[in-house]
Amino acid sequence: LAVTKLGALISAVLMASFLAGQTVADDKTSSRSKEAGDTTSSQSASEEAPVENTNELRLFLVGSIHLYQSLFSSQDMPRCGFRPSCSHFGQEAISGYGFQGLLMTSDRLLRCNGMSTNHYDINPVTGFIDDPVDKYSLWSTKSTHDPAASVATTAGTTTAYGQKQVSRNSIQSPRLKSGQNRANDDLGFADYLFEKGEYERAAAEYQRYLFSSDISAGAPDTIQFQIGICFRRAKNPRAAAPHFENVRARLGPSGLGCAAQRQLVYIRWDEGLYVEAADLLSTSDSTTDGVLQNCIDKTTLGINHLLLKQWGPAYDVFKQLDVHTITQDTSLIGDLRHVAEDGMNLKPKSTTTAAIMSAVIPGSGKVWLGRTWDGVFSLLTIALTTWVAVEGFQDGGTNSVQGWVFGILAAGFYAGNIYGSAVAARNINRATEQRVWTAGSRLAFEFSFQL
Amino acid sequence: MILCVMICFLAPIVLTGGPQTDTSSPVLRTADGFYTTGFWDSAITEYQRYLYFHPNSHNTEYCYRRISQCYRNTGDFNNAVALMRTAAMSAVNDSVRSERRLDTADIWVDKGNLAMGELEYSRLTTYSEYHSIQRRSGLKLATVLLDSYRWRDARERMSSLEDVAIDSRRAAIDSIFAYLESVSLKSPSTARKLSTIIPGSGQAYTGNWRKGLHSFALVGAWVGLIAYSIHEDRIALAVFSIPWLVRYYQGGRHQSAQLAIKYNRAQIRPPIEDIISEIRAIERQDSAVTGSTRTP
Repeated sequence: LAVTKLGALISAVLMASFLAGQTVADDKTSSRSKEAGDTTSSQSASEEAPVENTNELRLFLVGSIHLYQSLFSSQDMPRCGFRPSCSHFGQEAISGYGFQGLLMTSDRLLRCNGMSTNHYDINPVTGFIDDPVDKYSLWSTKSTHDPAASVATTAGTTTAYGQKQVSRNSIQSPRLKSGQNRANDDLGFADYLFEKGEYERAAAEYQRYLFSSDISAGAPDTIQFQIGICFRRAKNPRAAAPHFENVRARLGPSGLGCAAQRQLVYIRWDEGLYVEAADLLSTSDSTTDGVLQNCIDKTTLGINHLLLKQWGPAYDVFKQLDVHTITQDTSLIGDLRHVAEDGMNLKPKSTTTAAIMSAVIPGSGKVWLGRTWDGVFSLLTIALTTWVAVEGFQDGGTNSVQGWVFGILAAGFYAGNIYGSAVAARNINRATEQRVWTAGSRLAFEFSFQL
Repeated sequence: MILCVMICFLAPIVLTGGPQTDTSSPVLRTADGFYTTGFWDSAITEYQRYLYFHPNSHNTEYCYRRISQCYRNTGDFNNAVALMRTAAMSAVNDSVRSERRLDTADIWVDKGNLAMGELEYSRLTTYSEYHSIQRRSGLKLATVLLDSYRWRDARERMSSLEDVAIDSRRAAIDSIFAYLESVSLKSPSTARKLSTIIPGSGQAYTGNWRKGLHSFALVGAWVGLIAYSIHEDRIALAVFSIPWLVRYYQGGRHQSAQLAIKYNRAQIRPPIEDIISEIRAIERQDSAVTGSTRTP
């Protein structure tokens, strides 16, 4: 009897450890991940947390995880490749999402098998896989990607020396195109800074020129426009907007004023405000003089559809442009058309099908989604825990502690496997769509800086 | 006589890489003003303005060096390294070029990239034809090696350096190195082997009795569970428990080796700090005697 009790006690601790996560990194590595900006997940979890952390069961589970961390994890090697590690993930998920958090934790334990790392992006700084809790919330309405951040990422770096920012063509500012002799003029220094990619300094120098020089009428608008361009390239669209608005207000809907109007649309893109950009485009009263201007306006409209993930309308616009225009950068428009086409051809995986498959044969949903090792590991884990539970019930009947502990464990894994398949399907769909969208946003950035 | 006069006039220029400031240029004066008052961003713009309007100036190297220092002071180490390399390329002679390479290595170390700093210091120590540069980069290299707990390599480097300033402190440094030799350290390999034989004994060997007991108890519990499962003919439970036993058994071995390394580092850190402070004293003495073109 004493041995049975001891076994039961160990099994209870074992269950707690399972719920807590397979491992947690040693103190050093966990602090490293914290330093490297691991706070995003906890932040977002607390922001989105749909339930308050007052439930006794939840406190018990979180406490068990603490127990696991001090008793078991301290004696383990740093095995978990995810950040937050499984036990921290479990703490965050359970305290933030309650029952859903339990399913998320189960799913994470099944994913932490060391054989599916190729499905994740490894953080180059920490060397771990960033796997925040909020990414796996099936009932969360918040999108996991930040459009503005994506545009900023695709926009490239603005380091002062070395890298050039935009790849496709050698892009020059409107002012530099005029071919002025730069020698010994203050404006030349501003242009020099602009060429070097020091946009904020260049903006300050253009401002200085505006304040200090006796310049002819009309020139201030060009400089104002240029300052706006500098701020946009310095990833400071809010500072750029007033300059374009001034030019637009002074010159009206033609020439440079029209270009300023377009820049205001591009600023909305920079800020991730695509709906607002569409509104601005629809209320635009610019006089489209000439084939080129017309083409630029249509391309802008098409890109805006692309950024709003309206693949069909975007494709229609680019298809028309491909036929009608030769003056614009046709390769860019061709690429944009391909992106729209890719968007139209997206075939999202059904979350329901993945969940049903995993319910019928554990892990099969994940195999169907291309996560073969996750699926196999899920099947083996559920099979093993079920076997241990069945063995317990066979030997000890319905009073078997081993049976109940492992039965609950198996049920948790089974539920987590179904939940995980549905979440994986949704995340794969999102990632695929995001890849197409990112390609489009990169082209949008190139286009917006060519003008 | 003429030769002496020429040497008197040219020596400072050759040694320092040219005049520090062009007093006739208000732009450079403004830039220096911003620099000395700590307005790094404005200083960068003004030095760039000077470079733009004086593309062939003899102050080019000076301006790039200052811009690099400004970036370094603002924490932008990537630009600081790039600009210091440009300064090295613009240097008027090899001596100044070596100085700038030494500055570049310093920036790498400041940035926390000790490997790059070590590489650059090693290159200068080995290939520089200037004794002063060799000595200074040798001292810096020794500091980097000591910081990485590679004190035997550092001692080797230090022994190859010959200088009055170093010789005056050599006795003190050598005595600390001798003390380091006598410090009793724990072998990580032994700790691991002990934990392989008896779980927890490696931890106890490093002085961590509590952790040793913890490891022993945990591994013992898993062994007990497996033994109980086999005794009760519960094969599934045994199959389930074996991977966990292996996991924590390996974890204990790994932990014992890590604890030995930690113990060793704690033991040798204070003498290492003493040697580093001796090296810093030599460097201070060195810069006080010879002067330096290096920007504070």
